[in-house]
Amino acid sequence: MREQEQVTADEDAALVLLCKKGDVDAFEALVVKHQKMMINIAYRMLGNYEEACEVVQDAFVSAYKSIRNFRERAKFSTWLYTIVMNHSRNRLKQLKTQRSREEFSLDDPVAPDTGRGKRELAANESSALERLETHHLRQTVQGCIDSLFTEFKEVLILRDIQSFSYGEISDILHVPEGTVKSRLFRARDAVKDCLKNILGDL
Amino acid sequence: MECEGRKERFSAYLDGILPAEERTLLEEHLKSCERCRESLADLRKTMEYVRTLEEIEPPAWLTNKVMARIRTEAEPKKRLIEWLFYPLSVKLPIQAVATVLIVATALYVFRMMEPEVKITERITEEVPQKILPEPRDSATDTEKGKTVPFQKVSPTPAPRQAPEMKDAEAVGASAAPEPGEKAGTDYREKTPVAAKQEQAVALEESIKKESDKPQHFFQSSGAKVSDEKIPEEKVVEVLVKDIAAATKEIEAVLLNLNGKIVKTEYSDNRNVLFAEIPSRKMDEFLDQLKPIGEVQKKPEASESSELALTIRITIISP
Repeated sequence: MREQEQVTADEDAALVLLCKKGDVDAFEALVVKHQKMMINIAYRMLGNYEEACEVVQDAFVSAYKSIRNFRERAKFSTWLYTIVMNHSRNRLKQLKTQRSREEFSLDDPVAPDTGRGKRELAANESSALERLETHHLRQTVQGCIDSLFTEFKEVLILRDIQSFSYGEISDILHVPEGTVKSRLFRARDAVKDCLKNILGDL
Repeated sequence: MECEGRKERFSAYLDGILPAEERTLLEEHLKSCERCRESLADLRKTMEYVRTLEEIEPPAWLTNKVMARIRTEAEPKKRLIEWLFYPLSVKLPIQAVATVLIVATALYVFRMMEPEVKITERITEEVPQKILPEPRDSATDTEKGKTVPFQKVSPTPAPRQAPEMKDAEAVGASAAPEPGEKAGTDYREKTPVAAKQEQAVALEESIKKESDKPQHFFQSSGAKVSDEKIPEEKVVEVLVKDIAAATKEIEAVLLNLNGKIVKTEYSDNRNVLFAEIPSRKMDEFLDQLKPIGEVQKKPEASESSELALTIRITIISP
């Protein structure tokens, strides 16, 4: 997927140029091309499909509005993912504020809730994959990702789910590669602890 | 403690980006440290679990919704922003053009209105000037017509039966042609002014309508003389002994020749007749004038046509 992105970077440049001249159809082509990556990033950041759809829409609209400011120094996809990342981050902040206001909200999506019951189940079984159906495992993993601080979550999603290189992650998040590296370790370690907490043995 | 320090490298190790030297050291350590091996295995499993997360598909409507928002929301906003932020580049020229148009319209209206007023005020003076210019060759005639008859009309209301009165003035009036040459030049100097006023066609129309005299004059000229076609006025001056009698005789002659008397103006020492006759009767009319008095001025023979000719006959006594 990453290699494909790099190959198609030049195609994007042509479309971006058309967009800058006001060609809305060219932008539609870019939306079609990048929407899957966008929704995956947003979904993993927010852990909620509807929220992710909203955020992706907002991100595309603001990308269109500011496409004249896009300089070809960066890859368009990188620029676009920065935007969706920023929108996701802001949305998370909003949701967090909402949640702290409605402290006992029933739809509180924080991970431990989904996990707690399952940990009890876990005791007598031998393998995590056997104990839980894939679907449940995925829910648990997503729950653990949700519980991460945003700055760790970002790097984990971009690296372990979207398979971007350290350099690309550094470009998208505007942080040095060293920071990406250390955050990534912390993120993985935190998820590991979270999963161990929920699943017992890994 | 040693192991905690190494754990930070596990992540990079699993990504395969650990420098060869460090990697060898770490691998050496792992052989002898079970805790670290477990820790590394857990991390690897964690990464595997994370990678099991499915790719999700965007909803089918996403593209359409995004594009709908861009077409409706983003574009008008952009236009609005342009309108708000480019007032100097867009709005100023428009305002400038509007201002120029308003000024131009105002000037045009002003030019339309103002001369009208002036002309109604000066109409007694102007009318002969306006109507006479055609027979340019007899500038002095025109001049005479201009200076004397109309100015005299208004102050003294028509003493029809006083032909002998104010001989001196009558002489003065007949003497008017003498300085007429000089006055004629005056007249020529004035023509540019008149010409300027003529520039606006509508203006000329308004002059005719504003001034009572020509209005009657043209109305009575009937269907043959339309408003667009301004008839030439022929100027005839007759010197007679008895103005009143001569006037009656001339009127009779005009009527005989199918002419029409449009207007008469009587003053103490001269009568002015405005009349229309068919232009082919013009010569006949001039012939019949000879017995009545001395024709001092007559128009040059014009081509005879069915058109009605307008004549101004000034009857003066010596």
